[in-house]
Amino acid sequence: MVLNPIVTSVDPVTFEILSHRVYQIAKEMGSTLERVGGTVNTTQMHDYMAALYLANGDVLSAGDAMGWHVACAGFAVKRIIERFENDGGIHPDDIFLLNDPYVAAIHQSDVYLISPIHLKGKLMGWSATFVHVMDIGAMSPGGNSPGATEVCHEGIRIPGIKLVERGELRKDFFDAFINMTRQPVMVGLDLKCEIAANNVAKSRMQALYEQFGAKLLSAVCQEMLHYSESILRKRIVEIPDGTWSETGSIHAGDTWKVHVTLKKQGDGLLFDFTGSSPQAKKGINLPYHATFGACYEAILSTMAYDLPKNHGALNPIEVIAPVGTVVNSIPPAPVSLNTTSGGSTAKFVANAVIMQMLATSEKWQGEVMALNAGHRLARHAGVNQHGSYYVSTLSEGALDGTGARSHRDGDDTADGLSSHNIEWVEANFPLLYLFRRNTKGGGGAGKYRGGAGSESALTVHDAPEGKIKGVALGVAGLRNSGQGLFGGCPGAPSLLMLIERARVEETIAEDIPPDQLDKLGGNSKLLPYCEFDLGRNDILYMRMASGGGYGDPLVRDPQRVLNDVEDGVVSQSEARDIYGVVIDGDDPVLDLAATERLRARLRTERLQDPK
Amino acid sequence: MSHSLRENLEIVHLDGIDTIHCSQCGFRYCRADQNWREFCKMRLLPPAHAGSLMSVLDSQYMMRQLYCPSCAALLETDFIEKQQDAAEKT
Repeated sequence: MVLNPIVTSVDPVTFEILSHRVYQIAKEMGSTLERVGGTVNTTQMHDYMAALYLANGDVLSAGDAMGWHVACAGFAVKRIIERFENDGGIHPDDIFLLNDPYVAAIHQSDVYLISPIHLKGKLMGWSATFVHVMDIGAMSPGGNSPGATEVCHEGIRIPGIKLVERGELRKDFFDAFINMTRQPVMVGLDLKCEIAANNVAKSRMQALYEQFGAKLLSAVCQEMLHYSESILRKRIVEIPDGTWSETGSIHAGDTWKVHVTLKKQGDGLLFDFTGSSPQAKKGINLPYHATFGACYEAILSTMAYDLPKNHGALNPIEVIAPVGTVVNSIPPAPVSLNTTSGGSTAKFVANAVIMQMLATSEKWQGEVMALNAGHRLARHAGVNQHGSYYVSTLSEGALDGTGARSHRDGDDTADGLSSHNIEWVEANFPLLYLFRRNTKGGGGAGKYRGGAGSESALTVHDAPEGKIKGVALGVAGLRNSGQGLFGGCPGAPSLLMLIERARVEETIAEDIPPDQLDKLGGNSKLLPYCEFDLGRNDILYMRMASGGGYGDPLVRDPQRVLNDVEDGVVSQSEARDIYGVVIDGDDPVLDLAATERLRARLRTERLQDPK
Repeated sequence: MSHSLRENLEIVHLDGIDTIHCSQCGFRYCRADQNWREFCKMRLLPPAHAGSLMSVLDSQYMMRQLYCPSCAALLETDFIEKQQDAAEKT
C-alpha cells in the first residue's frame, strides 16, 4: 500500500503553515516543562516528553521528544479513553495521571499527565506529557531499584486517575501522591510543570480551532499523518525486500538476550523479537508498548528523522514480542531499570537491523552509521550542604560518543539527552568534580572515527553526613558500547567505577590538580547495577561509551589523525599503532613519508599471521 | 558490470555468474551465494589492539579482524567471547 502525499482539499500553503503551528505548540509544551520544572531531569537533561494526540489517541505531533515515549503516551491516551469514557467521564479541563508500566508507561518514574482538549464541549484531541520524576517511593532513591525483584518494589503505580477534575486540582490525591515519595516538594513541582504544559497545549489548540475552524484544522491534522506515512512507506519500498537479525545482551549478574529479526516486505516493516530471553526478576524488563516504542524511535531516527513525528510514521511498523520475555513482560516482573537496559538494548538491536537493511540499498547506504548501545548514569541521594535531604541524577550518559558514518566522524560527547551543568550540581549537592573531559583513545578507530565519550570523576564535598548514597545503573555489558562498522573498531565501553580511600583531599591540599586517577591511589571496583556509598576521599569515576568507527583505520586521512592528536582524543602512540600515522614531537608534526612506510608494513603484517 | 555490496566489496556480473570481489584490488572472493567471510584472512588480537581503553575486555574477549587476502583491506572488526574462540578452533 503506497499512499500519495497531499490528497486532501487543504491547499499546500495552508497545510504548511498550520502543520508547523501545531508542531510549535508541541515544542512550546516542552519549553514550558523546562521553565516551570525544577529538577535536573526536566530542566537540564531533557528527560521528558510533550506531544499532541488526535481524539482517538493517535499521535498528532511530537515536539523535541523521545520517540518511544511519544508512542507510549499514545497507548496511555487510549487506555484513559477506555477507562473513563463510560466510567467517570472525560470532561473539559480534566487532567489524568498514569504511570503504570503494565498499562502504558515505561517505568513508574515516568509519570504521564494527559489532558483532553475540548472545543465547545466536544472532544477534539489530547495533549500528553511525561517527566521522569525525581523519586517515586521505590526501594532505592530515584526510582531505579537494583534490588527489586517485582514491580511492587518499585514505587507508586497508578493505572489512571483524575489529578485535575474540571479544572480543579484534586489536592487530596496530589498530596497523597507526593507524600509517598522521598522528594515531595520536587515531585510536586514535576507534576505542576506537567499541568502547565498541558494547559499551554489546550489553550493554544483551542485558539487555533477558534481562528481557523474545526473543519479545516481537522483536515490539516489528518493530512499531517497522511504526509508522514506516505513518504515513509515510499522510502521503505525503495529498499529491497529481505530479513535481517541482531542480538544484544543485557548483563546484570546473569545475561539476558534481546533478539530481533526485521522482515521488510513491500512498504511495511515487521520487528519480531522471538528468541529473546524470558523475563527477569530484575528491573530490566520492557512491557510491550515500550518495545514497540523502541522500534518507533529507531525508525524516527533513521528513516524518518526529517518527517513530522506522528502516527503516520508509526503505521508501517508491526512488532511481535512474545509474552513473558524481557521485551513483553507481565506482572510481577520489575521494570525500574528498563530504560537503560532492556530499552537501550531493544533500541540498539532495532537500529542495528535497520542499518543492515539500509546497507543493502545503494540509495540508502550513505545513511548507515555505527551504533552505540551504551548509556550509564547514576542517581545520588543524601543530605546536602544546605542541610536538606535530596535525590538527584548524574546524567553523564548524555555524554556518550556517537558512531561514525559513511562520510563523517561520530560526534564527541554528544549522544541522546543533554547533560547537567557541573557548577549547578556543585552548588546544590555535596559533590566536587575532579574532571570531566573527552576520553583519549575512546572513539572507535576507522576511516571515520567514532565519537569520544566523556570521562568524569567526582567526590563528596561538604556533606554533613560525610557520605551520600549512589545508585549505579545503565547498560552494564562491556560489549554494548559503540560497535564498529565495515572494519571500524568498536568504541571503548562505558563503565562506572568506585575508587575508595583515594588521596583526593591530600592532593588538593598540595595544590596538585586531581585529574590523574593513577596518581590518586585507592581501591577500585567496577559498579554493576547496584547501590553504593560515596564517602570522603572516595571517587566515582564514570566513563561513557564511545562510538564505533567506520571502515579501515589505515585509510583515514593522516591530517585528520593529526587533528585528533591535537584535540587530545587520540594519543600519538595510538595514531602510530592503530592508524599507521607517524606524528612526532611535543608540538605534533605529521611525517607523511614515514606514515606511508608504516602503513605498508602494517598491511604486510596483516597477511603474515596464519588464518 | 558491477555494483557495490558494501564498503570494500562489490558484486561483479560476468557471463551470467555473480561473484564477490574486493573493490580495492579486484580480488575474487567467491560466488555471490557463498559466505565471503570464509575466504578472508583472519587475525585474532587482544582487544587492547583497538586502543588502551579496550583493555577491560581482555579477560573475556578477543578482537577478530577480517582482511582481503590480496591487499589487506580491513573488512570487519568484531569482538568474540574467548569461549567462542576456543569452540571455533576445535
